[in-house]
Amino acid sequence: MALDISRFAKAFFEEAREHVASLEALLIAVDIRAPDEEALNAIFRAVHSVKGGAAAFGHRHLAEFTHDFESILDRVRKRKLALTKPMVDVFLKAGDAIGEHIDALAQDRQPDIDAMTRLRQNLLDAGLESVQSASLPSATSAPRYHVLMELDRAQFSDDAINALKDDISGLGLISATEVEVLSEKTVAFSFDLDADIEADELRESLEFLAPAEATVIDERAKEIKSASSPDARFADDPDGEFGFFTPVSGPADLPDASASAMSATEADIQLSSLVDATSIRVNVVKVDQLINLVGELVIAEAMVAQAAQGLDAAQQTVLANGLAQLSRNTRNLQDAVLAIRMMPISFVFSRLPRLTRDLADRLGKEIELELQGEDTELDKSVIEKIADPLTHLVRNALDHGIETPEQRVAAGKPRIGYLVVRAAHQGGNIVISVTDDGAGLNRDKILAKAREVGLDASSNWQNDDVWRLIFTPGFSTAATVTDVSGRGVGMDVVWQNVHSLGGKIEIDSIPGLGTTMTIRLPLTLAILDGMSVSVSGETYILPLASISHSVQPSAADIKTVNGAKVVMVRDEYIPITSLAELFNLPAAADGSGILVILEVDDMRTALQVDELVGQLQVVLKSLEANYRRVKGVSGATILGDGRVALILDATYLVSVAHSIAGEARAIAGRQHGN
Amino acid sequence: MLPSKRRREDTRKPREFLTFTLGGEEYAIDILKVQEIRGYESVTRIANTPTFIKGVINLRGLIVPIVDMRIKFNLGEAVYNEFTVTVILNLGKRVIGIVVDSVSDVISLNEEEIRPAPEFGTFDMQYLLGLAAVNDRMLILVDIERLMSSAEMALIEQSAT
Repeated sequence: MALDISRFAKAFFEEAREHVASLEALLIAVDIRAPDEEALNAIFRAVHSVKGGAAAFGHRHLAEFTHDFESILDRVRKRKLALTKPMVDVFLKAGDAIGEHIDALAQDRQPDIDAMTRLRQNLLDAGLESVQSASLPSATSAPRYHVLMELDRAQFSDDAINALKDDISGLGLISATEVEVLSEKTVAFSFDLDADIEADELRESLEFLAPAEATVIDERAKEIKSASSPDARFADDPDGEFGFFTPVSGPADLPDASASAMSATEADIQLSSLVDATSIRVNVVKVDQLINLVGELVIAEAMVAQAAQGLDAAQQTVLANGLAQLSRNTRNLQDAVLAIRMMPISFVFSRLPRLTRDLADRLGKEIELELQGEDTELDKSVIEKIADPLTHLVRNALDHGIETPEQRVAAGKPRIGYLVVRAAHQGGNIVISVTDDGAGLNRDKILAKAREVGLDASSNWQNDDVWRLIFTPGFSTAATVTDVSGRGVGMDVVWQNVHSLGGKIEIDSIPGLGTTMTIRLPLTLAILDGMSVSVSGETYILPLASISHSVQPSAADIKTVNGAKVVMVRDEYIPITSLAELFNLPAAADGSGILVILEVDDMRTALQVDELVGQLQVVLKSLEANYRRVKGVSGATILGDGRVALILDATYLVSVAHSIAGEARAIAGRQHGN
Repeated sequence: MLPSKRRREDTRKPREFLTFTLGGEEYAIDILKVQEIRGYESVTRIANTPTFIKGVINLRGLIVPIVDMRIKFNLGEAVYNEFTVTVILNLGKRVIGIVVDSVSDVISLNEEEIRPAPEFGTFDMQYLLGLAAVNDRMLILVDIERLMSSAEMALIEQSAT
């Protein structure tokens, strides 16, 4: 008769992870000297909720651990115990342990019980010996009651017993509830209760709920508790299905079987999730499906619009009105659907306070972290990919940027280093910056290191060029390799990740005052603002972001340098790349055409195309899903007429132009030398 | 032991094959790999690819590569008219289109009817399931999934390259 609760297990894991995350955020934010009462309550509630769920799903170790944790937190919030930094440290570790435990359970792994037991001891130590003293009933010494009630069936229907369960759960952790029909008139309702109250108190409380004479309260000793049958049941039942989920009259008879059959603690979780019912969990696949469908709709709409243009004027006006409306609606729909995937960047930012705290401790630095623009939204896929680079930048700023307190004082700066991580929308981009008030990048050191690893670096270089060296693979100026950063892997990976997202990274550094690293990213990877160009009858899309401008050169503007064509634009010679040549297409007969100046990372190339067709917003499609990666092409899209157009990879085009130009220069140099 | 036994049992049941012609030869592929059959439509070509990869088409929002088998195997004439047929294959996670001269019919073959193929030129042996004689026709049974995921088709990123 046991109800299959495994389907709730996933919800429990997700909820519990959220509680752990909020626990961590709260612990980090808490002011140790003058903790806010509300914050302490919230911390307590987070742990309490995990405990409730853990008990309901039969995760005994987790339930016991959180119970102890909760007991200490309870005393903290009741001001019976003063909060200290070491205590918060242990709490954070305990939060981690709960998180790991949950992960292990979710992945069907064996959780590390030993680690948990050790940490449990730490927790108890943190709560100081007073926890174990008799004066305060705590986790390990809390009496577990076994209560048996013989109830009148006329008075206590199934629903009434469920309500009773809810009421009792207000007293403590209720488990192993059993309902047994004794006779036509009486029903036995028994349960175990873990509560920090004396037996008399419990008796009084229960009197309000059920006739006192029918209630038997059995107080169990600590030893019995650990060996008692309910606990054994916990252990014996790996599926997490155990006695108290046996519903009163079978799940099928109840209109809302799952809800009524849930224990009171489970109902607790349900309640807490109701509070933030303004958001729903949806599988990403479903959202992506929706986005794809809307993309299709946009294309279909464009096709109809195009076809309508061929109609005669009279028919067209009628159709045009309808089409205009349709077009507006489709765009709005597309925006709305794409917005579903948008998530606030706080998902990434939330891990930074903890990271900063731990790192600062480890490095012996004092750092204040400020987060700005946490509500800035960007596409989920971008969020996922930006998390690591951003973490790395923060780590780098902490490790290399901000000095030790002693150094800071010696330099006449405040002891506490200041780190700001900011996110904001700027046009169609999101800009994320990491600013520290540390020592700034050391120009000479970077140049020296560059020469040491055999890079071509000149001391006449502009700062920007020098700073860019730190993105070279294998480059690290850290005097000592720490376990934090400085292994020379990282900054190049940051650069790569940002670039693979179609973004840019900028460095601004002033010696002695600090460094700002700025990442600029497109908001979404699903749509792209593009310019369609045609070459030999084929249409290609260029990302608008990388187009600087376009020129129609006269023959005199084009010169050759060792066979490689260059064009003089705004007092600068820019290498010309012919798209037709690059893609082996028949070149336009008269050699005319338009040069589109592409700019990526301060490198420019003039891309020769036949014609600029127009500006448009395209839905990105993967070429790799069914085919493979193609050099020079970053993806594909479907045009208004239903045809596929390839989206060109501006970074590739620019780098090709420069490597060709570089080769030409090298050849020229060699010839010159001979 | 068990899986191989099961496979043998499976093949004992007649399997259905789609037959198509390339030049004068008749080929057959597992019907379960065929998603649909379409007329040839103009493709968007992709630069610097082998000539037998015609390009990509928009198949209801999917970008699908099109391979002209006639060019790849040098059979028949690669003309594109209203009779040219594209067979859309669904191979695991990938959708790929192949251009053939014409599609003939669907036939059922028992395992006994499939004979091992002798070594011969056009196809590498490893992509052949065998030969089958049906009435006067000789069918060349191709393991289309294996062929399409092979390095020589250059359709899929090979980890080695």
